[in-house]
Amino acid sequence: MELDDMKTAWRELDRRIDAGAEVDRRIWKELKLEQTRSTLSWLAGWPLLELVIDILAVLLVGAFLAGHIHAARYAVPAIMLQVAAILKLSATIRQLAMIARIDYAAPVVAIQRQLAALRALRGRTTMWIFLLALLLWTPLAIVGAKALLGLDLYRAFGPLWIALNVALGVAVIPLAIWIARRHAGWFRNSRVMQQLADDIAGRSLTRATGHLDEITRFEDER
Amino acid sequence: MPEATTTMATDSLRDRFEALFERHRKIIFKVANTYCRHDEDRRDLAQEISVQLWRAFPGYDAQRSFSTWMYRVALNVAISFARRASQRDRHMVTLDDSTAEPIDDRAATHEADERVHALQRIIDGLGDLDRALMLLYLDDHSYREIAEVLGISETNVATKINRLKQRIRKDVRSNPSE
Repeated sequence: MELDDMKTAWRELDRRIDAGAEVDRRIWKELKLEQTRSTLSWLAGWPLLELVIDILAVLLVGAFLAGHIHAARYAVPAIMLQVAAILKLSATIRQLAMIARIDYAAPVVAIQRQLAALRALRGRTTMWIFLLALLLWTPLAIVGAKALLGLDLYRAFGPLWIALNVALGVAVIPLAIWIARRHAGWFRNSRVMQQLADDIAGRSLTRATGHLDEITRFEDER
Repeated sequence: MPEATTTMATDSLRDRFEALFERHRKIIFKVANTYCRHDEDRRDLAQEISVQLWRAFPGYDAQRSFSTWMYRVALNVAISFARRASQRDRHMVTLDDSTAEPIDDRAATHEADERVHALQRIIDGLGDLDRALMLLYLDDHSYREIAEVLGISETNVATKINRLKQRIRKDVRSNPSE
C-alpha cells in the first residue's frame, strides 16, 4: 500500500465517519457537559483524597509525638511514622502541583510527557508506601494502641513480639513483590487490586518510564 | 441580578462553543476512530473528548485556530484514554474479520473494505504519537500545522513522515495481500 492508497483509504474511512456521525451527534446533543463525570477525574480525585488523609496523619502523629516526646519507647516509633507521613504528604503535594499544570490544549508531546512523569511519580510513590507500610506497621501498632486504647504493647506482648513483627514485615516484602510479579492474574477481577499489583511489582513505573523514553525518541530529530 | 448575568454569560459561552464544535466535530470522530476499534470505546472516548473540550473552552484564545486547539485536546485525551484502556485490558486490538467494525456497515465495495482494513492495521501498529502524526498527515494538514499540534519542529515532522512511509512500504512488502 503506497501513500496514495492510504489517502484513498483515509477518504473512504472519512466518508464512513460522516455516515456514523449523525448518531454520535444525537449523543452529543443529549450530553450534559457540566454534569458529566470525566473518566479523567482519576487524575485529581485520588490525590485530593490522599492529601486530606496525609494532612490528618501528620497532625495526629504530630500530636501524639508532642505528648510522648520524653518517652523514647513511644517517641521513636512516632518519629518514624511522622517522617513517613511527611514524605508521603510532600509526594502528594508534588503530584497535585503536576496535575494543576496539565492543560489538554497544550501541545501533545509536552502534555504526554507531563502525564507520563506523573504516572512514574505515582508508581514510585505507591511502591515505596507499600514497602514502608510493611516495615512501619509495628510502630503504627505501638502508637495506635497507645493513642486509641491506652494500651502499652511493650508490656502486653513483650519485646520479643515486637522484634518478631518487625522481622515478619521485612520477610513479607519479597513474598509480596513475588506474588505481584508472578501472579498478577489473581487480581484480574479487581481493577484496584490489579493496579496495586502493578505498582508493587514496579510494572506501573516501568510502563511510565518506557513511555517517557518513547516521547524522548519521538522528539529526537535524528 | 448577578446570577442572571452569570447565566447569560454561560449561555453565550455555550452557544459559541456549540457553533465551533458543530463545525469541527468530525475531528472528534476521526480521533476516536484512530485510537479505538470498538464502538463502545469510540463512544466513550468521543464523550470524554467532548467533556474536556467544554472544560478547556474558557481558556481558548479566539485569535488562534480552533481546529488546532481541538486537535490538541482530542489527541491528548485519546492517548491518555488508550493507555488506560490497554492497561486495563492487557491485550492489543488486532484487526481481523471477526473484530473489524467498520464505521458504516453498508460497505461500498470489497476493495474499499480491504483498503480501509489495511489502513487500520497499519495505524494499529503505530505508537500513540506516531498515530497522531499519521492522522494529521492523512487529514492533509501542513507540516507547520502538524508541528503546532504536536509541539515538535517542522523538520522533525518531515523526518518522521518519511520514516513512516518507509516503514509502511516495508510492512506492506512483508504482507503482500495489500
